[in-house]
Amino acid sequence: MRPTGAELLGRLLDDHGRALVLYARGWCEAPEDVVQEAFLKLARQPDVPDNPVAWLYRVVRNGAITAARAHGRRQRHERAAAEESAAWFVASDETRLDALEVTDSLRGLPVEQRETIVARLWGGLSFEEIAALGGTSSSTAHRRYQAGLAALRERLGVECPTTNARPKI
Amino acid sequence: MSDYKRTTEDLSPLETALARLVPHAEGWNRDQILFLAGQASVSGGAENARRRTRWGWPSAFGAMTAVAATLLVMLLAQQRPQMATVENQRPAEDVKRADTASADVPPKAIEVDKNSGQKGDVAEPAVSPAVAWRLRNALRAQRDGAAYLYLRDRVLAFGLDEWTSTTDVNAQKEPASVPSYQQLRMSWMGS
Repeated sequence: MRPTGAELLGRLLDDHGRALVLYARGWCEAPEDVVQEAFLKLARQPDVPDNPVAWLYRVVRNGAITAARAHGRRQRHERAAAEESAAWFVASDETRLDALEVTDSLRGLPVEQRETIVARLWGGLSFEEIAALGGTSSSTAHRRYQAGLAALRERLGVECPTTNARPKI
Repeated sequence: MSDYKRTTEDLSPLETALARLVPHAEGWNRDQILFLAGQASVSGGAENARRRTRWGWPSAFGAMTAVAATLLVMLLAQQRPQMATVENQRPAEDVKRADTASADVPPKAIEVDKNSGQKGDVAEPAVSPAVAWRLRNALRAQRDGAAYLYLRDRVLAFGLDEWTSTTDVNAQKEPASVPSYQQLRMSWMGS
C-alpha cells in the first residue's frame, strides 16, 4: 500500500470503520459494502487527502445515496421492515441507554438530523466538516444537531441537563 | 483512542451516553478490507501508470492526422493548370483533302469541357487551331523521315514557342532535312 500507507489505513479502519458503517446505514441497507468500497477507493488514491476522515465520510455518503437509489424504494422498505428489530449498536453495560431503543429513536429522526448526529458524535467531525458534507452552513449543521438531540432526548426520556453544555464547534 | 475522535469532556450526559454506544457492524472484516486495499493500491498504481501511457499513441495519432489534413488542404488549395481539349471540326470535303495533305481550310476550334462534355468556342487557345492543324498536316507529310521524329521530340520537349525561337539557331547544327518553322510556314501559305 504505497500511496496511502497500511498503517494509516489500519488506523482509519479501527477508529472510523464502525462509525462510517453507522453513518451509511442511514441511507442504504448494505452499509458495510459502501464503507469497504470507500476504503478501497482511498487506497487507490495516488496521494493521501488532506483530511482523510472527512474524505471518507464524503465518499461513504455519496456511495450510500447511490446504493439507495440503485436498490429502489420498494426493496428498501421491504428490507427496512425486515430489519426493524436489528440494533445499530452493540449492547454495552457502559451506558444506561438501550441499544435497540437508541436505534429506533435514531431511525425515526429526519435524515439530515440523523447524519449530523452520527457524524458529530461517532465520527468526531466538526460542524464545518459536517456542513461541507451536506452542502450547508455550519450554523445549519449545528441547528440540525441540536434539534436531533432534543428529539432523541424526548424519545429516550432523558431529562434536559441543567447546564446548557454547548459542544465546541 | 483515535486522534480524530473528539473528546467527550464537553458533551452533555446524553451525548456522552450516546457516544459510548459502539456501532454494530456485522459484515465488517478488517483483515479482508486491508487485504483488498493492498490489492487496490497496487492495481491503482498500475492503472495510473497505464492511464499516463494510454495518452501516448492517441496523441501521436492525432498529431499525425492533423499534419496529414494540413498537407491535404495545402495540396487541394494549389492552383491547378487548366486542361482544355481542342477538337477540330472540319467539313467532309476538308477531311478528304486533309487525307491528301493538301487541305487549306483551317479548322474551327471548339473547346470541349471534359467534365460536362459540352462544347464551346475557344476564347484564346494557346496555339491557333489553324496553325496547329497546318503544322500537323506538314508533319504528317514528312512522317516517313527522321525529321518528323526529331521535330516531334523538339516540340514535345520545349513546346512550340521554344521550338520557334530556336529553330534558326538549331538549324545550323541539325540535319538539313529538318524543316524550320519558317519553311513550314511558307509551305502552309503556299498550299
